[in-house]
Amino acid sequence: MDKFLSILKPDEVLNLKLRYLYEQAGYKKYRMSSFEEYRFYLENQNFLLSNSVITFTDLDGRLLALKPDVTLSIVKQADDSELKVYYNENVYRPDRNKRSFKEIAQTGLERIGKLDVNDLTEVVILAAKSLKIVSDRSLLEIGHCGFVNGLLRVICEDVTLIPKLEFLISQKNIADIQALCKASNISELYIDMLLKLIGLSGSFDDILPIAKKLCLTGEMKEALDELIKVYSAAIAADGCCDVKVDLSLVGEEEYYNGITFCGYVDGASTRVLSGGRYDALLKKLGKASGAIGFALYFDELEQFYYNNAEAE
Amino acid sequence: MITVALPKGRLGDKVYKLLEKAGYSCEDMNSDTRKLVLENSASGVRYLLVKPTDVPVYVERGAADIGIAGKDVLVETGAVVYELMDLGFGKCRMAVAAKKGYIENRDRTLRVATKFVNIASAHFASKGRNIDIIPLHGSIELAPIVGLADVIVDIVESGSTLRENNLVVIEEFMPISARLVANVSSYKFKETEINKMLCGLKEATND
Repeated sequence: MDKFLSILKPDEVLNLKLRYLYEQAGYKKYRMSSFEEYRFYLENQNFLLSNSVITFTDLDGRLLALKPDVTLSIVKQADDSELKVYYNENVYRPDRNKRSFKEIAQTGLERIGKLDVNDLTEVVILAAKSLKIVSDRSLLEIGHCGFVNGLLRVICEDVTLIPKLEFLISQKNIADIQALCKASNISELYIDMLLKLIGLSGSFDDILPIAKKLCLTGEMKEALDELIKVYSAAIAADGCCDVKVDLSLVGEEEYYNGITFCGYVDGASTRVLSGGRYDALLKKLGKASGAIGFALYFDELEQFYYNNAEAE
Repeated sequence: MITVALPKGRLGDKVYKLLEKAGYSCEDMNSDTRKLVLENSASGVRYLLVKPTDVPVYVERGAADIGIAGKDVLVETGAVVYELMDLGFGKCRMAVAAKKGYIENRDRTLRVATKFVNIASAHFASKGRNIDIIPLHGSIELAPIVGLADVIVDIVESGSTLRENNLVVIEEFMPISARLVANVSSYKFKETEINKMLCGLKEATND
């Protein structure tokens, strides 16, 4: 067997190890078609990172699209029963640096059903274990959309400010947050709270006292309580990467609405994993369940393995 | 070791002086060397000397942990980086300028010459104005003079180049200054070192 394994590239070995991890946890491999009806993406545009998709007309005249996202397709198929799946698929998205699309290989995992905090924890721990398999020098940061959004909804009377501030928070851009808030007549007290939010990352023990002071609503307190439970379980679990909290974490995908998380590997230039809870997407598709999942970006990991091989 | 992408030219020179004051000196920086990578392992810093417009690319792609770039370059490239500090210098404004006495004809497409294609496109799109972008790499002020464009979008510092070419600012829309940016992943694994450098830089700036 070893002679076969020896010819595999690091990202192929990783894929096998991840499959083993997910199968052991009771998740089943999910294979889907490369195409979806374009109309489906059009109706759910808000849940896509970009409005641009590759379309073509099928032989029967239907307008189809190459998948820009896997989660949407899985959710579409889900009924009200419990679904625990993982996938290894290609998605097609615009490349920011050139006027063309790029193919991105993703491995991901989705859990759909009536979720309690233990289910959320299970998925977060699987994300942390996945990163640990990639590298010993890896980190999972967990946040909660309910915390950031709760604070922004209190601060911003003008809701058009919210996406602008979310963007600046994601950049840790203190200077422009101050400038935008002052120009929008937001009080010094609230500006101070936003700046504190940006610094709320690290170990929960270190940031909890300040985080509690920032809780202005019941929604924020609930978010913090849920985060504490998930974080505490994740740092206590075996086989996980380093786990930290980042309360300023803004859900990258439009559909995240609860626990959200991002994974990093020392030596990769950007995040290699992102995930979170996305009940809002299920609600939009008329389903009563909850959902949480994550994806690992193999285009980033491929570069990481290549750089490592070069360094050796 | 922190790798810093320093823009070649006045801005980079000024930032280096501050970093030197903060304890991140590198002997070769003060010589006439043509080296592009300069390192001082004792102070744990490596400088990459790059074209100012390339700084966001080096940082976003992780070739440098941090870098110094103008807000104009950051917005134009759309680089996904942490923008950790406004250095407070290199201040200027992004502006629309035209020949003195220019009156806009709203009944036709506006011809806009600029180095900042993305910034200009987004600015006029936000106003619902249909434009024809004319991408140029330098001497932008020439475009309205020779009838190549109706207006230009460019950075304006003192306004003397515009005045000398009989142009006037008709709109300012983006304040610009030098920013310290960090690679998102590097910041996770080198947060202590990067924050230490940031503090040193702040103190050196306030002195």
